[in-house]
Amino acid sequence: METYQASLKILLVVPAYNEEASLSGVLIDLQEKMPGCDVLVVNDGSLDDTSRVAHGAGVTVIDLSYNLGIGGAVQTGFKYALRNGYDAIVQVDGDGQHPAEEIPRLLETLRSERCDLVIGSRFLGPTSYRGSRLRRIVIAFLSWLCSRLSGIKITDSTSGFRAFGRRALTIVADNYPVDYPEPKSIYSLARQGMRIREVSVSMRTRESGTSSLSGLKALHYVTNVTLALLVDAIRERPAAGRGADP
Amino acid sequence: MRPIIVIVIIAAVAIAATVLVYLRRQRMREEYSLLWMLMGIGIVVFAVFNDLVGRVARALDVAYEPSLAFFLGFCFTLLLLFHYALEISRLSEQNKTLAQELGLMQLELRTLQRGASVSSNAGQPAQEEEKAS
Repeated sequence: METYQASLKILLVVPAYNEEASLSGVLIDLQEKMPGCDVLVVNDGSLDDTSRVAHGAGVTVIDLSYNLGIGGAVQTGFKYALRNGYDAIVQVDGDGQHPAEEIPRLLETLRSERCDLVIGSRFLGPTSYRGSRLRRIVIAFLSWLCSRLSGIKITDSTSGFRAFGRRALTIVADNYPVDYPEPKSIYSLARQGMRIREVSVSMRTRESGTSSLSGLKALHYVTNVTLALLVDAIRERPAAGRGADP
Repeated sequence: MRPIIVIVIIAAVAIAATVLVYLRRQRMREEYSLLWMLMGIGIVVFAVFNDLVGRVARALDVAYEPSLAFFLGFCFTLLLLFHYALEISRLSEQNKTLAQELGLMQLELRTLQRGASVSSNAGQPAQEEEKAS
């Protein structure tokens, strides 16, 4: 497990929006368990003390002037990684959901299976996930849709715990959805010939903050993503990846 | 001249005058001013030659003649909204890129000021087998 850390330059990207309560725990966890990796916090225009917490933790910090949304924040990390010559990044949410000890499995799969995107799935193995019924239905539906469209078996399309290889990074640094990027990017990357795999991970229930998915929000999520996936299916693409016409 | 026609002409002239004022203060870009000026002129033309709508409507076999006027106004509004949707998409994309670049540059500036170099090991060669993939 030490091999990839020694040979590859890896960046852990932590998007954080108003995560002052949980961020410091997340960063300590990452620094302890992944000592060979650099950590970048992208503070997405937080209104609380997120920026101060991040700067105090001795990691690299990018403060966005205003809130761009999760997609815009993570994409800033992609751009930073590309410009600074990283081989792979792992996206780790700032709310403490994603345990650092699962990161090596993502990276190991990225390497051993020569994947471009590895998604940490809560549902691939036995799960202790305790989301609301509505939330699980939304995730299941979008995963089914992503699987059908991309031809890859996806069980956790909304998981933000994922590792990107350099080839995928060059694509997402240029073009990444602003809202609900997780399911959208799966199909988009699959269409561009990227190799995508899921691995089973455990996730913690969030340390703080809420991600309550009310009825209206769920409806917006589902319609927004479904529409985007269908639009993506008819979208023209610059030749990229495998199988593109010369 | 019927009172309603006078009112419409005054309104159209007011629109044109407002556009001119904003143009002079450089608060509006020329491409938009043209659109609004054309609309003002169009309204005046239809108001002065108030049989124009009726004649066109009859030629097109429109059952209720005034509805043609509403239809034209609706089409104009739709076109304008579509144009705005395109502009907003473009602007928000540019806006996002700008915020990201600003954040990246602020980090770079802090790093330079600290005298450290983030990119010092950027050129470090990756393991060969990874390069080959």
